[in-house]
Amino acid sequence: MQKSKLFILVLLLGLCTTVFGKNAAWEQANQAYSQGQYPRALEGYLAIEKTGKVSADLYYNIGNTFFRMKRIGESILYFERALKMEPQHRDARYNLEIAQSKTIDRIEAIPDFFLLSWWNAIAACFHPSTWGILTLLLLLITGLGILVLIFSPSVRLRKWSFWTGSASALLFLICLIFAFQTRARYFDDSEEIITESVVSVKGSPDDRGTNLFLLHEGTKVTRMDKVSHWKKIHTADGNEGWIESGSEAI
Amino acid sequence: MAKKILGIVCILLVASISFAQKFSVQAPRVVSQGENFRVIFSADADIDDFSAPKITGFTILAGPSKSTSSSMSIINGKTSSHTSVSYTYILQAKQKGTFTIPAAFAKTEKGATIGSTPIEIEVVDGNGGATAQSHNRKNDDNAIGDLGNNFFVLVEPSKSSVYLGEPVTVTIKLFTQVNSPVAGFENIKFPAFTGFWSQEYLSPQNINFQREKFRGKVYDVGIMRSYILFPQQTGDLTIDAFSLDLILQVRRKSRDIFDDFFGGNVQNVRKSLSSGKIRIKVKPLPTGAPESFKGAVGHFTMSANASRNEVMANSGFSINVRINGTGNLKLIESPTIQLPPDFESYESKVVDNFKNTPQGSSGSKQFEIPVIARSAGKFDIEPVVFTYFDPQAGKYITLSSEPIHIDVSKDPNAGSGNLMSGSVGKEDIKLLGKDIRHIRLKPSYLTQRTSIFFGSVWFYLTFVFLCACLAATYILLKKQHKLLQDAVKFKSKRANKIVSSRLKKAKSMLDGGNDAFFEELMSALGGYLGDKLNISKADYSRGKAQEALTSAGVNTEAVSAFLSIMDECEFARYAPAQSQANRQELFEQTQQLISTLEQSLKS
Repeated sequence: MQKSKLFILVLLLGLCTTVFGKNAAWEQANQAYSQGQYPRALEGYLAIEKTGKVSADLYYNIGNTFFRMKRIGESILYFERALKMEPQHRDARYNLEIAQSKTIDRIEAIPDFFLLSWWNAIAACFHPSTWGILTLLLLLITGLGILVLIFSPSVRLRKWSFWTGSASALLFLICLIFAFQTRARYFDDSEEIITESVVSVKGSPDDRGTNLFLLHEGTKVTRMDKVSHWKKIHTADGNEGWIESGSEAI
Repeated sequence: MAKKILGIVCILLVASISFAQKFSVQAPRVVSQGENFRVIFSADADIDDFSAPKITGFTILAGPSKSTSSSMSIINGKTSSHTSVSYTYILQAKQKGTFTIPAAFAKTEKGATIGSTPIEIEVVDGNGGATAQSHNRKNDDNAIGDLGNNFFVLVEPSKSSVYLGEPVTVTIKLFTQVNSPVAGFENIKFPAFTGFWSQEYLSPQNINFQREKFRGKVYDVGIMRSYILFPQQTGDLTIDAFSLDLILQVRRKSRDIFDDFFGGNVQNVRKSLSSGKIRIKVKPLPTGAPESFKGAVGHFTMSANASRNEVMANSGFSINVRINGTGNLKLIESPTIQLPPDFESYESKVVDNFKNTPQGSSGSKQFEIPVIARSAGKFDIEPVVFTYFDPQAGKYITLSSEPIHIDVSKDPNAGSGNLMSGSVGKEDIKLLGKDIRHIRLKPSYLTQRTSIFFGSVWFYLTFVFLCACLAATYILLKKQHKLLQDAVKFKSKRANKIVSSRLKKAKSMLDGGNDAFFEELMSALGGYLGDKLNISKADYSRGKAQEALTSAGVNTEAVSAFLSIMDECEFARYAPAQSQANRQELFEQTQQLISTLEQSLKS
């Protein structure tokens, strides 16, 4: 009994120190940022990132630091990462817009069918987990509706529960689809951001390939294939080519 | 006639009062060796006691000879007279060099002594045709032929290499043979100054010829026109030729002495003159001009101040920027003034006060910028910065004024009451700049990036748990429902038993008391209905029974039979005793009713 108590105490202490240790690193990096010592702040934030445990705010702060260091490509990469973790991170979205206004490439995306783009826009509103929780809630509502429908002696209550149940069942299905879709997108790492100031895109995956076009930092591309360390990329306006390095997955 | 002459003489005498005491000298500045020339001392008044100057370096051929002229005019009844006296010498230059003719003195009528200023005369080499000898009759034959070299026009720039915007003076001069009989000009074509912004600086109506030495010869030189040019583009700019037709009066060789005497054989000779093209090299301004440079070239000073330093909100004042100096003043733009936000400025009023000089426009230019402060407070208007290019030093010079301090007090008329002050007009927030938002400072909860709730074991566990909960609830409810239904069935089964036992009891009372029979009958029927249709005894009423029976699908006949039996029982309980046959009939009716009800309720 005594031993197990002691064990729990030690465990708690350890947890506290790790949490506080991280907090200290976080505070130090913040302070460095506020004093304009961006390289030091960046070092601090990246050290936290290296531990493997991250948050949208951490990515957001890293993006800010890169932006202040005039490394626009990387700042866009981190703002995108922050938004992936927390689609409703308003500051990240705002800063991403500003950072994107400083990029060179102007790529006009081929527009989707409007219903599809609406669907995707709604799906992108929430994190897959949020969709998951919504799904569970709707499942509960549907189930209760069915129970009321079956067992309620009151006709009026039965009628009401029928409509509620049907609606929530439909929403449940939609949310489930959204959840799966966003989850798939969350784990999809094929979207990349160009982080080097200029990258030349080649026609084939070797150094002798013809230079097709140039991409500048901050541009979003989709990785379609990978051959050793060559990546086949695809821009939003439909151009394709191979690059060796200079881009990182969101 | 004689009277008239006498009158004039009288007037002359009266009028001979000296007005001016100016004693001037007229003489050529440059003469050639051996030339005869005149020196005239003249005064606008009647003078006496002329003390001749001591003339050295020249031979006095004649003089001093005095001549007096008087004139009189009557304008609107006012009489004015003018007398002038002059003493004339005719001198000959003997040798080259510069000689001074000293001052001459004379006494006016009033007894004051007046003196002339000494003048210098330069004597130059006399060879060449540009001398008065061409006037001599023996040269008349070749006078026309001689014209060629001795008449020309020149366009003279003050500088041949200038900076963009640096003023350059260009003078157009006509050189003629000394004392040549110029009758006039025709077809004057002034050059177009492409690439320059030109300002006429001298354009005399009458051309005054001055003697001037040019390449060792003496000429009569007249300035036709003078311009100030401000180059507007860089490179080698060409000024086109200036051309004119000169008309000269030349005497023909006379055949007749009378012709000659009356001047009848004078001939007009036309001569076309043209200057060459000239080039002016315009250098671009050096690079690295400050942002505040707006094209001012020259040398300037600047001052800036506000018309008032203490103003009321919503009332106007002006910021005055004054630029003094020499250069392309006309082209100077108003310097930019950085006003604090909430200050409104309007178009500036420009007051030019300069004149054209050979160095460029000289004087001052004042900008008056009207400003209205919209809100109260203490403001510092940033120093006004003005940059010009100094062509002499070859660099940009930036002038900066002192910061202007403005104290804006509250507008007492703003809003009608104290409460309203400051809410006169709402303004949109002005976006001054755009920047990224600040970092998040709160430490956040850190997780593995790949660990998300949806799709995790926990999610599926929750899902299954929820489903299980619902299923369990369903099963529970279902069971309870079944139990409830069983209870109803049991009750209705029991109803038959109870009714038959009650009826039996009632039958036994057929012979007995009135009350007991009817009460038993009623409770048998009521209890039966209550058990069958699940109506509690407390809830029982006539209407409810009817409703329940109808909704249970019992036909109206049976319902009305049921109700009539119940009514009769109720009534009979308080009514006088009835016959046994009557009771028997009611009992049978009840039995019949129950059997019909049993059948219809079962189905």
